[in-house]
Amino acid sequence: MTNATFDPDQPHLAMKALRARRLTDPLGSMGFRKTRSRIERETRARKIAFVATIGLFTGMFGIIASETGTGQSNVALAQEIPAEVVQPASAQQSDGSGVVRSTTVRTVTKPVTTHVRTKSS
Amino acid sequence: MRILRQSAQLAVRPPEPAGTYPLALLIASSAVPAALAFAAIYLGTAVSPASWYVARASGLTLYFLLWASAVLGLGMTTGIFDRIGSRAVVYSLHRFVTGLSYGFLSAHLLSLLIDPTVSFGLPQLLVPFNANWGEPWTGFGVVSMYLLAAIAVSSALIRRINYRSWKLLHRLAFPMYMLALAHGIGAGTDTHLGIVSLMYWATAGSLVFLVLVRVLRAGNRTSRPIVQRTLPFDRMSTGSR
Repeated sequence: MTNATFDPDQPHLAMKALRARRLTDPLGSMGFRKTRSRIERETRARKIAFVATIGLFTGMFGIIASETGTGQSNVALAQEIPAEVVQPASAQQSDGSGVVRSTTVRTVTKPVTTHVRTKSS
Repeated sequence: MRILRQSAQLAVRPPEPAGTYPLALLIASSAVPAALAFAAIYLGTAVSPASWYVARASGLTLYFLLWASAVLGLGMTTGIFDRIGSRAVVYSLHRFVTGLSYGFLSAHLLSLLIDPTVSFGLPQLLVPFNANWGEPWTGFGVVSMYLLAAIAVSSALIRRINYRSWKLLHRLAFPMYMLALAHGIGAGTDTHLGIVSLMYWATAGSLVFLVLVRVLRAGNRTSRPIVQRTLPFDRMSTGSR
């Protein structure tokens, strides 16, 4: 039996020790042991993730609100009808003096969209 | 009695770090659209555009969380994050981020329900390809939601179902992510924004890269020849110890 001394300055020995630990203690080498420190690290990482997520949501909300405020209204974009149907309607009015005024009313209506179920849907 | 006590101790789950955060977020995200609706009724003002902004921002955050969850999951299987942190922390974050995504899914659905911009009711939110706006992209989002639900249920029942079934169901995460991406690009009204399109490109590209790493590593693992290790003659077991 030989007593091999571990010298951390020698990288090949460190790698060998790591390999040996991976073989003998696979869970421990992946960080699944040391419960106390692991839970502390997990808690810290989770809190950072939570704050980052809330920050992302707030940032997105701010970007969307400011972008809409600059005139490029996304509500208008969402309500934009793909194929507008313009139905002209004309009316004639007479004011009694013999002059007939013609008025054209342009009514924009949303097309009737019926969902047709196909084999693919 | 002693056996019962021991089994009860075994049944106690280990502490879940920051475990209440996803639940708190789920409650808060459900409460925010409800508060918006009540405020609109009380003040006599329109709920939109605030609800519409919440719907869009929560949708984008939800997409980002789904991506993060997929990346962390792939990071575990590929071991790509081993240099940064331990695999246990990556697994913990994977679970946590997925838990947070339920809260944002709830916020996305509820804000769409109360918002008059696209006038969605429950049938449009729950039945795929049933909406009269943005189809088939909206339907992709609904299907993606159901896939997320299937993954969540399978993960919750991981101790009751066998590993093979769980793994099969867990692989639905890839089509789920693809459908969520298609839903975001096709139905989202913010795709034209530079930062949003950059996010879509960067996230999709990174995930494709990780999938390739995963596939190539799996290929290497299977194609590696099985080496018959022969013991030295003096270490061979003779049958008698």
